[in-house]
Amino acid sequence: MLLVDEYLALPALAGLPRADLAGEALAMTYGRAYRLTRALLDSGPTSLAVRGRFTRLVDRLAPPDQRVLFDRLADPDPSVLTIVDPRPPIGAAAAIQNTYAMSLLQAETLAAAVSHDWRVRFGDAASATGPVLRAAEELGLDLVVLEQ
Amino acid sequence: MEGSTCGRLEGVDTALRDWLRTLARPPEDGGSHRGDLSEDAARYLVQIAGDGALKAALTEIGRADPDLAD
Repeated sequence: MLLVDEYLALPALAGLPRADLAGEALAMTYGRAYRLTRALLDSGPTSLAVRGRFTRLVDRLAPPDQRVLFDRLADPDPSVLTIVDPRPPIGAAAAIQNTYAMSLLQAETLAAAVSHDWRVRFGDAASATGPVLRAAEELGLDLVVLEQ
Repeated sequence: MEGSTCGRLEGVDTALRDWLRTLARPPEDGGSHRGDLSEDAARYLVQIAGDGALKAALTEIGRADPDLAD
């Protein structure tokens, strides 16, 4: 199993995974699935669209495509992407966040990798900050940032 | 004693409430991942994953919510 970030998960959800990940079983943490959903959620009814603060990346998609995308985000095909149950690694995530200066999102990612002995692959260097790389090294994790 | 504010209709944004309920719907029988994205949509999603658009959006969310930051 490969634990991936949003930059690798989205092409897989779109049905066009990177060639070097084809055939690999992919997983993403709950926190990353939540953040990706926030980034891709449509504008909603007028009142919320007016109040909304964030970039609306899917406004360029036709409504039927938006619905399919949201369905896939909420309930991905397990053969494409598994959303990691956040409960089992919660203790490890807490310990990691108490040890390293990083966000819950990052700690949950490392905790899932440690707990399940999964490899980690990121699609953007932004996902691999200094504290994450340091923790991954100290925890003996196989973490690689794939080049675009 | 005043009753609960739950159930009052005054000031309720029904469009917003109804939309949130649709988002919270359970998966349909057999899974809800059977629909097909158009080729253009799939290509667009791959594009934004790599051209910085998704990165900008995720960074924006992380700035507002540090526990969702890289």
